[in-house]
Amino acid sequence: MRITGETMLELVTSADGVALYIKEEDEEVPSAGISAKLTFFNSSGAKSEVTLTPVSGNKLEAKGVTIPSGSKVALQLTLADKVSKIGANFIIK
Amino acid sequence: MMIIASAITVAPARAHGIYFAQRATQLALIYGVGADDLDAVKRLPLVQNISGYDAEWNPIPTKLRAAGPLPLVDSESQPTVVAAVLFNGIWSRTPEGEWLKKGRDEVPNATISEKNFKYAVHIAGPLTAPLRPLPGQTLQIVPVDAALPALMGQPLKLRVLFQGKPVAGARVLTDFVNDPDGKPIKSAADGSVTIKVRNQGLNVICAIFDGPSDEPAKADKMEHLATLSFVLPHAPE
Repeated sequence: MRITGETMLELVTSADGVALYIKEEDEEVPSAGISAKLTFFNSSGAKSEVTLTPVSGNKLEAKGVTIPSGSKVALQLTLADKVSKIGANFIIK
Repeated sequence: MMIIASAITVAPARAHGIYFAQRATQLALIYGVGADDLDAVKRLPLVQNISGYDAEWNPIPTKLRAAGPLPLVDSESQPTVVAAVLFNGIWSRTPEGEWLKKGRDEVPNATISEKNFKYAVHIAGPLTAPLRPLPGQTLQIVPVDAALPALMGQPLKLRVLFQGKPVAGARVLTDFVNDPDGKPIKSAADGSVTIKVRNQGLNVICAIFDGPSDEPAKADKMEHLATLSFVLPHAPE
């Protein structure tokens, strides 16, 4: 989980893929219109980019994606206005 | 009768720098010094270069987008490092102390004429290797190690590079925003300085170095002013 300013971003990895949940001041931010791009590198330095798409509520996801534990992930959200961008960094547990 | 006189001292443009900082959740290019945060959009035509890099130093397409008075960084994916170069022109100081945006060829009695270049590098995410010399950053401050300290007050060893090589005698300010008049530390023969990180928040470190002029008829020297900015996160609320 990362807090950038007032925005709380929770990145969840599972066997199904990757999900991102967005909140602001304890309220869910509708994911409609928002896009997210994850960038990470594997142990041999190969770069992967994954686009997450809105699902419902405050959730975006990418199915079938595996991010190894320990990976450093750079996340960029493009908000519903299509121009405003918010960045955050994660380390996958 | 009471006479009130006041004077407002305006810092000459050459004292200003560029750096990156978060504004309304987004990364902006700031033009200013100390608490002065000036109209950077007006100065966008002076920006010669804006670039972003991922954690493996691959370039990421990056541009600046004007949003009101702020140029915001607009990259195709989240960069680990962002950098910019701004050429502020040639300035001459008259014997009366006035700064004019003209060269010595137009102000022959100038006490000083100089070309002003501003550089900015921002570390936006964790580095997997030490910051490397970046294209276009004629003067650049690089942390010696990849990892930054976690807490303010901890030491940070830096190296100042000029044209990619360590340079002695660069004047380093440890807090360009909150202590712009601080006593500068000079870089050693190997370009190094060790500072204590000033802020649990935004840190903007500045280095100034005078290099030879490439147009001696117009400018006596080139003043290079470089900033390195990064954020140490605060404790969770």
